[in-house]
Amino acid sequence: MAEIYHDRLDVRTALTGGDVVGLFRRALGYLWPQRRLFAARVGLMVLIYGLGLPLPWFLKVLIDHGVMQQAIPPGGEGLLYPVFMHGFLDSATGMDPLTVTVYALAVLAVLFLFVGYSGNTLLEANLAEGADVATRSENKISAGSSAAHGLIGLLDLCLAIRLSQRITHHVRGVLFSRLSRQPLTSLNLQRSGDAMFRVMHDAPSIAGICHALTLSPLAMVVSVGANLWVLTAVYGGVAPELVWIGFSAVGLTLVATSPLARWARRVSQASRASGSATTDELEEGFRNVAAVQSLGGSERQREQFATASRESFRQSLLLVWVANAVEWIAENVHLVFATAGFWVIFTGIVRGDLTLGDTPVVLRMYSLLYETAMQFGRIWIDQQDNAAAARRVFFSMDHEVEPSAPSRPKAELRWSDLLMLRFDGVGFRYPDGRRALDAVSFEASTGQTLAIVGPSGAGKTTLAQMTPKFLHPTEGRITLNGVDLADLDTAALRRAVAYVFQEHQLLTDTVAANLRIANPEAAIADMESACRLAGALDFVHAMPDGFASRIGRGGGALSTGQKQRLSIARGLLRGAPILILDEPTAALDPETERALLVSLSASREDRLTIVIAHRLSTIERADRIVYLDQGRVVETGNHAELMSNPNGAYRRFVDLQAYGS
Amino acid sequence: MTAEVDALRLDLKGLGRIYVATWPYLFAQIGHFLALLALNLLLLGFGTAVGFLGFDVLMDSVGRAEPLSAMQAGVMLLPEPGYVGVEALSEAARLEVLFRFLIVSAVIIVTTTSAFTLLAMYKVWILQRVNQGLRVTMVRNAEDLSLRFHSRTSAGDGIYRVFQDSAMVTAVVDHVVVQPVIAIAMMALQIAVATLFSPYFAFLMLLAGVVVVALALVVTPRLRTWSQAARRANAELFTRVQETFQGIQAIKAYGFEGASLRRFRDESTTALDTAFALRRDFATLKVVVSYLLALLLFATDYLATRYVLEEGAVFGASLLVLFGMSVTQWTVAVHQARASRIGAFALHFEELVRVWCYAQDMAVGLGRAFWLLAQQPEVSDPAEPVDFPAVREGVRFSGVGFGYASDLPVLRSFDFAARTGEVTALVGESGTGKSTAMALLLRLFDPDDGSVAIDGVDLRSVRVADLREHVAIALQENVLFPTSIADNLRYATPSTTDAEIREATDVACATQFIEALPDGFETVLGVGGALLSTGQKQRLSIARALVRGAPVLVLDEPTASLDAETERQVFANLRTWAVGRVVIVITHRMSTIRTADRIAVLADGGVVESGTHDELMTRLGPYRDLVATAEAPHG
Repeated sequence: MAEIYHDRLDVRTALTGGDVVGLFRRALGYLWPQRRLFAARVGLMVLIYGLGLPLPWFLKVLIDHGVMQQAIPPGGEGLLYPVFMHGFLDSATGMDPLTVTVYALAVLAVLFLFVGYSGNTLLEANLAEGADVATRSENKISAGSSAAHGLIGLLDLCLAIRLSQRITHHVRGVLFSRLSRQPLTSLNLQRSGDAMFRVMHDAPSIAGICHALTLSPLAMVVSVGANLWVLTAVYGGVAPELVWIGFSAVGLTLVATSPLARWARRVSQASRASGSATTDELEEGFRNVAAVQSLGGSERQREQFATASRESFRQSLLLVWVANAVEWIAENVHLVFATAGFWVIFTGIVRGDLTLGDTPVVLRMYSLLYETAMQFGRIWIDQQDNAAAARRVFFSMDHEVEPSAPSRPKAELRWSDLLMLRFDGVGFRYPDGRRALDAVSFEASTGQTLAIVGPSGAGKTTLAQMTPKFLHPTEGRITLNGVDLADLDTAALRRAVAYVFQEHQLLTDTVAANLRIANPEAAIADMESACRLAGALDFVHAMPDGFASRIGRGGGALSTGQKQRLSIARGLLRGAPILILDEPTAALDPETERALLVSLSASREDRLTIVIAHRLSTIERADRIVYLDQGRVVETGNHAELMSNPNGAYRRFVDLQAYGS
Repeated sequence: MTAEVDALRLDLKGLGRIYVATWPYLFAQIGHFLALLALNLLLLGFGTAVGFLGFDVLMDSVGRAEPLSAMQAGVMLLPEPGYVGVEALSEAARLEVLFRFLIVSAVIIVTTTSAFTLLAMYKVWILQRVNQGLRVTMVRNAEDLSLRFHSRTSAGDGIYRVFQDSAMVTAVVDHVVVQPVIAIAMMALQIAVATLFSPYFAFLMLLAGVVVVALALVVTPRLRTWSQAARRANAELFTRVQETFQGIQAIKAYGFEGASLRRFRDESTTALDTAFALRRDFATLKVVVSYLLALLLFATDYLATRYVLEEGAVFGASLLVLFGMSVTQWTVAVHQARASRIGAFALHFEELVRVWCYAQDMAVGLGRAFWLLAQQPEVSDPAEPVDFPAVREGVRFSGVGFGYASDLPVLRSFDFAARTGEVTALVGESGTGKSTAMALLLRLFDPDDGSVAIDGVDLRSVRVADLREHVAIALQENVLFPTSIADNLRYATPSTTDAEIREATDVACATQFIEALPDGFETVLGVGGALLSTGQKQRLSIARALVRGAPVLVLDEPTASLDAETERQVFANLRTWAVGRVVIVITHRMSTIRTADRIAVLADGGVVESGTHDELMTRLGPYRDLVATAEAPHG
């Protein structure tokens, strides 16, 4: 995915070993707030392994003292059992074989109720997973497993899932908040899809790292240690070969797993990249279904999808191959240890040192040791993907955000006062070096309407976006009543500005909720009057549920003009002393536009209006016109003043507009 | 619409629908499926025999010094004297048997694990052949479902569900068709073998089976409900995040960051809680089932121990010989062989329950997937398409009626003509149906009444692909893809040369600003062309429509954000370009309208007036009012 959503800000994506260690340390920091859940899991883990240890020994009891009818001497004297089985043997001394069987089965049934046949298969509750990031991260967000089944296993699993979820919730909340507070210059450079990807799909890897670096190795060490201890204690005297086999199984597996896992990982990455290429294909096709269909691209889109899909299948077949091959190798290595074990056990039985009941016990301990060692050997490799995702998460968290308070706090502005906005030699360069504005100066105050006019690409929108501090001048300064904008609290400033964007930005929600973004306290009556001004009231009333109607997909059921009017209504509802309209009327018919402008001018005394426009009827009523070309102010003045210069840029602009070609 | 889509349930009827819908795709591979099933059973039978041989030889002969059968000696290449028919094996003979057995079993196990590996690959290969066909059909249908459908679901929801669901399709056939069939066949085999030990075992296994199935059926509706809730919550969260970052400007402008974060947190919590509940119930079912199956094992443990103690005869000993077990009486080997079969039965059964739970979650997606598979595109090709006309006369809408919803007509007896060689302007207040009319021209929808024709040929009688190849449109909302400018311009016709692209950008007055960008035509645009001004995006959008050289060109509010001079230039270029073509322009701008060869005024879904500017100005009709409003002196 990284190669698909690569962007201009986050360019250094390679990771060194040191970076990985740093990332892991930082990821572990998210475990601390969940320390109680974590401690509960550690406690349960000890309980699970404790209760799980006796399980195989009851199989020995069933075979030796049930089926084989070997009598249990007092205290289990002369029998090969670990110390924790002595209590059971004591109580079973002198019982006949059938009674021993029933007794052992009853104890087993109770143990099973609590821990199940813990060991070989983990208890997990993952959902089906496809080759796409969505299903994969779904399972990652709620990842969890328990070494036990039974009641304790269930409890442990629930805690495990909650632990993963809480960490992810925490991380993605922080990430979401940081991302939405980045300055517009960064957000514009970055693709919005990338931001979404980080929040939804990268964030869960932090929980994965936390688990992989703490609980899983701890559980493995406890499990391997306990089994090796029991093996040594019971068989060390009679059949030390069994102990040697156990230790070498652990050692060899640890060494051999890592290269195999690395190989499998390489293949799986290639497969995943191809899987996400398919889903990207799909996503693009659907997001732009109108464009695809209207440009006659359906056929092409379909071919692309079929190709990508075939490729992803080919890749996943390769993946299955490798996974099976790795499994095949693992099974056959396991076979070597098992065969050696069989040899030692049965020669022991022939000699009379061991019994048939030792077979299931030893084999079970071997397979536990072997599998645990295999998991342990993979931890580091499996964390490579998580490390890459964690890097993306932390990068976005660390990226500069808009300062919420000024660096040099100064006197607060009284927004009820007459406001005087002043641009003083303002210049602006984008981070990539393109110059958008150069030495722009003008002023405007409450009660005035300022029109910004000029050819497209002249920097009009850039200029307008500096007032609410979406962009900061790279040269010169902007003042409001003499106070530099840099010294003003951003939130307070933005509360005083209503900005209507060129491209409407509506959310999937009700009409009312969309309007209340600008003013959460607005009553229906306020909304009605704002909509009436913006010419939106008629169609809102015509919608099935009026203001409570839902609009979907960025305003699906509405026409572009209607969305634009809602957007304007939202700006008006703000009731702010500064109103900025960025080409508000491009999508309006002249009638509606006229009505809007007439009503705006009726209440002009209370506000400063800045409007970017092409339409003459809008421009000519402005108190002051700033004509911009290639980032510079070419002319300023009112309509009459500017028209009096027969060779002026504005005059040429008006003539063209009025008389066409 | 979504309600009916979600209605698929994985009860018998739902399963039936899945089998019916996938049958054509499965049937194409039926030979492979049967081979897969046969090979699986064969291998399982062989594995069972090897296992039984192992228990018999290791436990009874090595462990308890019982003699081998002639067949067992044969398999291990041992001579009969001293091993077969003796009272008890000597210690040396026991060690020799052990040694030989371990070698033989190692060889056999390597062989069977390899065979199982190959079989697993074979299954994946078959499934992929099924799924390639399935997925491509599904996606094609989804794209063909026109805007009537897409306009009602929010973008995030649609994307999330379709790619989630299409990924699921890969697993669907495996989980609800292939795996259950194989698992049930395997379980039947285990029950049959268990019967050979004792009919009571088979009875107990069937009893446990009934209890587990009943339990699974009781829990199923809960799982389904949670699964649906979890998906809905996730889709909502997905939409929220997507919109937040796409609409970040507005959110910043209105200081909505705090409220937006709160909403995100709330929705995140809801999504996590439902995901948790689903998994908790899923795990509970698993735990209960595996406990029940453990109790089954314990019950047979008790019975088998009694049989050994009573030295009972094995019920189907004569048939067990086929599996390599030469015993007539209960011994420790029979006891253990029995345990291994019950264990295998339990394993398959747990797997079946797991698959069933998966299927409940997938069923939610499946409803959508199979609904999509069954869809016929709303706009379809005629059975016998005619060639696309030469566009000598022009486009004509006759008595067209259309509405997105049946009770809300957008166009009513709409009559409109645009002639070849002319620029026709379509004007009217917003919301009167101008863009909708153009969508009909592209056959994004078909009219409810009346017809749209080019040179008298009804659009419904030509191929859709043909039509869209001949009609180019520059949309009101500038959809640019996050690729390079050149790729955007080449979008519909990848073979376009650089010279053709430049020609189009020259007409659209875009060459100059493109070349001023750092990488020129290779500059990569952000989402929605984030790096460009609206006017620049509009010019790119116009150039993209022009690149195709289509005989019919539609410009939907193409120049709303252009300055007057650029606009004048673009239109002057267009008029030269338009010779021999139909050009339809939707606009509000007087300077554009005035220069059109013909003007049609729309109101309330119908054309109320048409003619040239001068003609219309002489009438005292709606057009005149429009012009008067636009040009009235203000102030």
